[in-house]
Amino acid sequence: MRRGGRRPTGRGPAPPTPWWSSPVPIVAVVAAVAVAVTVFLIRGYLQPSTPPPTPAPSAESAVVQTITTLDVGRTEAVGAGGVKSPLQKVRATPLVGPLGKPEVLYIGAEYCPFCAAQRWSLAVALSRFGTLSGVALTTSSSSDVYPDTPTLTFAHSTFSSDALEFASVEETDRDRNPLQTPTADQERIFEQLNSKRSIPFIDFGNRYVTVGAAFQPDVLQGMSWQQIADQLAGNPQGPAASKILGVANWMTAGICQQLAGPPTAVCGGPEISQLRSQI
Amino acid sequence: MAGDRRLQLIAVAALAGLAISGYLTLTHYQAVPLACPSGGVVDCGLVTNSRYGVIPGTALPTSLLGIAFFTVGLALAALRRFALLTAWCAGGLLVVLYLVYLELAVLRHLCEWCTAAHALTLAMLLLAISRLQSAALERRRAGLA
Repeated sequence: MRRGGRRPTGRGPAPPTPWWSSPVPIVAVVAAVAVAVTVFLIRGYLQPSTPPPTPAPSAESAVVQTITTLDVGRTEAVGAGGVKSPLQKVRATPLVGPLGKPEVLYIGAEYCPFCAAQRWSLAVALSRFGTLSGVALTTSSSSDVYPDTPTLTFAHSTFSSDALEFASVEETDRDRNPLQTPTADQERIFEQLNSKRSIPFIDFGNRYVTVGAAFQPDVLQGMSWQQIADQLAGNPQGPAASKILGVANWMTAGICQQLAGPPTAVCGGPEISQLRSQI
Repeated sequence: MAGDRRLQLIAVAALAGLAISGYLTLTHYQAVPLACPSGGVVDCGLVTNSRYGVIPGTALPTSLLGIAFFTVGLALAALRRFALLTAWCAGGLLVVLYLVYLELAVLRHLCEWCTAAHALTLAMLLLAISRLQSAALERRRAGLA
């Protein structure tokens, strides 16, 4: 009888643990992710921002000149341009500017592609009531939806009119760097009439507001500023022009409603009158 | 058992990822506000409203891909299909790396909700690899016995 010791099992030594069951695969995945993230960070840090396309000064003034002197009769004939009214009626104390005239307030940002669309219409509408100056050309952000949409900027604009005042705030530039800050009163209006703080926001004398863009910026994609201006002047029924002018006509109707004595040359036309009756 | 524990963790990660992807989808359609800081490097609005916030060629939010990924991952975990689950999570991680590249190198802003979903994808892959390893070892030992 055997004493002590272990009964032999008859089996060989345990096979080595395969490499794929070791921590190697997991460590490899973690290491690969760490390397990838590091490379991305370095690339992002070293890569310069895409510079915006800049128009030549002569081209810029030509574009601005064109869009601010469009023939009212010809552009009014577009009517609504197939665009639903963007005007929302509001009830608040009439908004007047520093000179005591009814005021149009715009709040947006240069990066914003929807502001990019809406500014064309607002510039056309305002130009029917006075002289808009200091408007420059730019594009919306390169990294947002509808990238690099050609547009204007009101950052340094001025407006002179017998009937109306215009205040503009471009909160950031196209790279989202802070640019202009609303005054306390403008901020209050913005909060009161636009609880979601969406931009672009346009207040027509506290009688009507528009929030967001009335048409999608995709109609402007691939066009240059000059092409847009040329279409507005020469082909008002064109795909981009009809949208811009349709919204401009709605805005014109809103401005007309805000004025005590709206100018007949602008507000008395058949299409504008029709739109005024609908808002 | 440790294997079931890992499957449970995978399921928890998938459910959390589903919740985040669902939330981002709702914010895309403005059904709920986006709770996230803005104005700094972490700016969810900038990231999710960029052109990369939608599936290319569509107007559908990228977060829908997350919903699909986490749903399938949850199903594969429930069905104990470890190899498929690992492959699925590996594919998901490749997509995550692309999205992280866009955030860091192109947009240069981060979305914290997106980062949380990305981290959950990585966690699911690591757990899936570990579970697959265990399952393979069990089969190997059973074959040698």
